[in-house]
Amino acid sequence: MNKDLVKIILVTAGALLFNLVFWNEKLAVNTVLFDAFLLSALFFLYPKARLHATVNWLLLGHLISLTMVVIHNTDLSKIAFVVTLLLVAGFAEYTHRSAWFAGGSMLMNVVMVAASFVEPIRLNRGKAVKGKGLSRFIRFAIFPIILLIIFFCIYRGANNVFSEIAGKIGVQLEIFFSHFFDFFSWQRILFLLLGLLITGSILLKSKLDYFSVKEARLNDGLQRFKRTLNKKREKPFFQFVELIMGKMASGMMALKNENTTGITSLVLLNVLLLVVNIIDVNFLWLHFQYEEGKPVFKMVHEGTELLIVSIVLAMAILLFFFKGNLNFYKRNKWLKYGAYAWIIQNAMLVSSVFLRDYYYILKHGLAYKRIGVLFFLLMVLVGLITVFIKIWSKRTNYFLFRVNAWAGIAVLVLASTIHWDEFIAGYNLKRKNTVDLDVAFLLSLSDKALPLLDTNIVALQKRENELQALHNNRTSACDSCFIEQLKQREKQFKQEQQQLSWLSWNYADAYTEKYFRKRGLITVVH
Amino acid sequence: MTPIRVAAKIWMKAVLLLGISVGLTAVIALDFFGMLLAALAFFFGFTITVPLLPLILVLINITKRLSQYSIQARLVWLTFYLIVLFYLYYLMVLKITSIKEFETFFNHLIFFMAGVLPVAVFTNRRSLYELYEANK
Repeated sequence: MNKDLVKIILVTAGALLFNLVFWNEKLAVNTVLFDAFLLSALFFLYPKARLHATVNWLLLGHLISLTMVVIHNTDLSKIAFVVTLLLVAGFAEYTHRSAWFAGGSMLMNVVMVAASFVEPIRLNRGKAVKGKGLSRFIRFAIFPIILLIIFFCIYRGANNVFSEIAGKIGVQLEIFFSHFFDFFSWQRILFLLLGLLITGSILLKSKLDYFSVKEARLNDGLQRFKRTLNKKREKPFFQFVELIMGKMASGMMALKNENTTGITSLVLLNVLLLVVNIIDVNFLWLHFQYEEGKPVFKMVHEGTELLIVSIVLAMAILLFFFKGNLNFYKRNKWLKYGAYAWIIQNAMLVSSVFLRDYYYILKHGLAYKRIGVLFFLLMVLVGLITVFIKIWSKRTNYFLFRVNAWAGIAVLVLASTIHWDEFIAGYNLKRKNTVDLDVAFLLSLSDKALPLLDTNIVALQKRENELQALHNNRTSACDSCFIEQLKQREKQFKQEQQQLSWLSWNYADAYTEKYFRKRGLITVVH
Repeated sequence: MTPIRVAAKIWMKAVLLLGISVGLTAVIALDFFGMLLAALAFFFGFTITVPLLPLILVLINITKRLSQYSIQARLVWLTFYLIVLFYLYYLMVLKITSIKEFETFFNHLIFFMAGVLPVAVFTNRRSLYELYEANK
């Protein structure tokens, strides 16, 4: 069969399947069905893709994410599923080494999907047909129709019987349209189009290979190149540097001047950071203790965001100094030492931020943002290591971003293997005697955490009573508020489940449902 | 044929056809006040949609560069994004005016728009074809 025709059939079938399995359902076991179809179609259309190691690794990550969608059904697992699916398709259809560029190619697929869908259907291979028929008809029709509308209005106003007949036709038209929109649900049609868009974007390769061509020119190893001053001046950033540095940025000694500026900057920044690190080592690493009456966030949490920004900025500064020929400059030894010291000191700063987060978790328990900081620090650490490798072995920024993207994908897939809501609830409730329980936050966690909350209802009630005593009973919250909220959540969960079919089955919901079925009503504490 | 002329032609045809189709329905279905409203909407349609003209021009200029694709595919791409563009624009107008009565009208408008825009592009295909050929 003609491969172009096969593409159209597969995309249409995919859109129909999407419409059947996802309409009014959530991403769950239905994702397996749709994904099985998509992957089979993808490897059928691009059979050579299976030979690529990158595709196979990504496929492994994708299958892990898919399994997690069915088991945990968290938002994170769904994001990991979508990201890995897009990357599998990107690497299967195009020649790429970097996930960034593969992502770009997939974006191109999405943008061009309408054209890619029609491209295989060649109705008229020759020149465009002469646009006489319809155009002429429209041109001839416009003026008479306008006249018709005007006179229709006049006669309708002048003749009651005519107006009545027109009114009846109007009512019939109204009925027709209302029935039409009932029968052809807009939402359903749009959902079908969404399915077409998604399936088409994954299966149909765009003809614009801008990103693969662009990536083919890039290398991991940095190469020395000569650029004329005029070419340099074309770039706005160089113009800015020249504005500040004057002739020192463009003269014969430009590279030497750049080296001197770099060394001076790094020495000053290292000294400054050393002071900050000494304070942190003394305060956080060696002599940390919670001070009575002083909020923990004041002591440790405040400023964490700024420290993270400073670490990212530090990496940007290094990338700026080691962007080009300074890597090959013979007397760059001290610049390199300064950079290594800067990296090590920033790694220390990462440890300090980690300690801040750790102390905060010890006092207040786990929360999304606190876990997010941990993952972010992990990524920053990977970033610092890769910056070190880049400087040490003269690698390009392309290498840096490529390796970090892969690290990010690995972290995303691994992070999706944990049900964080359940983990947070379990961790905080296990330490209910040492941690300040934020019950409102715990009650906002996903359904999988509900059984855990239910088994710890006594602790939640105790916390509520403590809070009321603390506020001298000024709060309007009732004694059994948490229980009421839990009951409400259970009710909502049951209602939601009733609206879903087997297509939305997932282990997390099944577990919660089983728990409530076994337990019956939620415990009521008096 | 210049891109601006083609863009203007498509815009004018789309708004005119949309106005006629909505006007025709209003004339039959509504009373005198409704007809007046439809007539006003028809004339204001041109004014309200003027900001779309530069965006239509951008879309046409993009299709000019898509030389890897057949003309037929480029026309479909253009139609698709014109529908998206008009849809988003009307959605924005609806949001800004926030008149609830407009919602039903808006639903019908989308229906008409989805039919009218392909016709507007199709009837301008010769101009578009000339434009693409000149760009080769």
